[in-house]
Amino acid sequence: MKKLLSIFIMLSTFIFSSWASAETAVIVNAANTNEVNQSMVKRMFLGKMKKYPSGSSVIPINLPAGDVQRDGFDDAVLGKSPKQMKSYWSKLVFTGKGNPPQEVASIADMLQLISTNPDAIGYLPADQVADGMTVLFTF
Amino acid sequence: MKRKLLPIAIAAASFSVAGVSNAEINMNGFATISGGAVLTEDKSINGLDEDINFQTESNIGLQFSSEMGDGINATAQFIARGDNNWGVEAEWAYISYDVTDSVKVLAGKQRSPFYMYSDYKDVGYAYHWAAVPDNVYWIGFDSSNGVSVIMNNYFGDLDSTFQIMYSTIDKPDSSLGPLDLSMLQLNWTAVYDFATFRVGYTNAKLNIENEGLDTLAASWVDAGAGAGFDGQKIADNILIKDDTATFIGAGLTLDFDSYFFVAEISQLNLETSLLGINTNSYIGAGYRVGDFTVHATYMLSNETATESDVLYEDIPDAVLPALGALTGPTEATFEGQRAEYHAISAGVRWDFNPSAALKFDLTNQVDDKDNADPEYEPNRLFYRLAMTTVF
Repeated sequence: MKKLLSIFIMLSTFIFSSWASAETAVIVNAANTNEVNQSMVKRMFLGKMKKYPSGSSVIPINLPAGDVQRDGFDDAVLGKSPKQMKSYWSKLVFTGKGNPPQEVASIADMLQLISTNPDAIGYLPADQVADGMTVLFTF
Repeated sequence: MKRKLLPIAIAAASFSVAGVSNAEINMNGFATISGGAVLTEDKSINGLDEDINFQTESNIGLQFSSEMGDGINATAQFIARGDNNWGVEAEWAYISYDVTDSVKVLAGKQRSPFYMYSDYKDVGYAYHWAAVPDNVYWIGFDSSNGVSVIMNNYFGDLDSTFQIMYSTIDKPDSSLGPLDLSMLQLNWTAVYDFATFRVGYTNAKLNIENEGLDTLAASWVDAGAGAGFDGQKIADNILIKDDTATFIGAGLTLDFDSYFFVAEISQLNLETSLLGINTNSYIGAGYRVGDFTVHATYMLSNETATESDVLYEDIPDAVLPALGALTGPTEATFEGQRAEYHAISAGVRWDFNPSAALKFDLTNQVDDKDNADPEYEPNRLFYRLAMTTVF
């Protein structure tokens, strides 16, 4: 059953990531009740905002580089191209000023992480938002 | 490996292990292999000559950092440099502490904030040129030992970073001789959407030991005692001992999706001295098409040393002509520090891989200083070819 589920997820990942026009939802765990708007999400993923209004640490989660949703998120929310993002982080990492968000390998990993960690914030195709998650906004 | 999220570096390839305190140690690296040569016959410039050399401007760096919790972090960055015969030196080695969300204190060896690209000038991947502009980035040391406080604030859509740093440097092998200095630096960077503006101020107490200058200064003291003028004052102006230098710098980048502009100006002021006032600037633009970035930069420099009428103002006119044996070498020394030149460079960067780029710059530097020799060739055409990567 578990195997079947992961096949299903893999399959749907494939379908949705090749369907570039699908809406992307920015999500947190439903237990995370902070008011977070788009410009805060941008600062969280640029390493500039490290805590939620409640005071708990922000754990931003990225999909892997080259992923369609990731590129869409970088463009729409962060306003930067993948190359600009890479250059942005290389400047911060080697000056000890910050590390890029953690990356998960797949949408399935993203789902699992958001559903288990109330401090995590990520994004995935809007159709795949599961129970126990709050959609902050879609684009 | 635990199926746990690894802090991923720039690329997917990062490396992390558990340290003694169970804190994870992150490792990141960068490398630039750069070669260049001068195409103008019998000329050398910026450490380049007619034979291509892939050593002097190449480097490989490894950085280790660890979060110990409670906002404490230790970072060390080791760089092996070609011009140091690939000897390894710690370029950054500090402990930082997050006092609050917006205030951080760094203690240890860290980058001195002279320029806009000071922090990451070793990481070639982070900029478009094969090397940062030679005329502006002339200070022969990048890092110093000390304490800095960094404050990050947000004003609406404007991100502000203010840094204040006190540090010292001992450099036994500077180009003028053993150098030591202590300095206070202020550095402010503001980022608003596509625009980054940076301004910095340095006030330094500077000592440079140089035997030639010592000899010259001692001769002036003797001459003053013999001819009845204040030779010590001239000696003090020749020597760089407990001199106060100020250094200011400002920079601006405007980065739009496909094109960008960058400009920077800096000025060193060490009044009434051999170093005088050095003003260096550049302005450039670039255009990104796919994996390629094409760019051009114009550089302008004016480096002065105190003029002789200021240096000799206390010497009676009747005495001066008899001091040729001293004014000759003094003038020659000061004249050697004066420079006036401009340069134009054009280059291309090709991001042939998500973590690596190939860069080629062609630069022509033109000497604008008057030269008595009618055959003098003021042009120096040189190129640099670099491969740079982060890992």
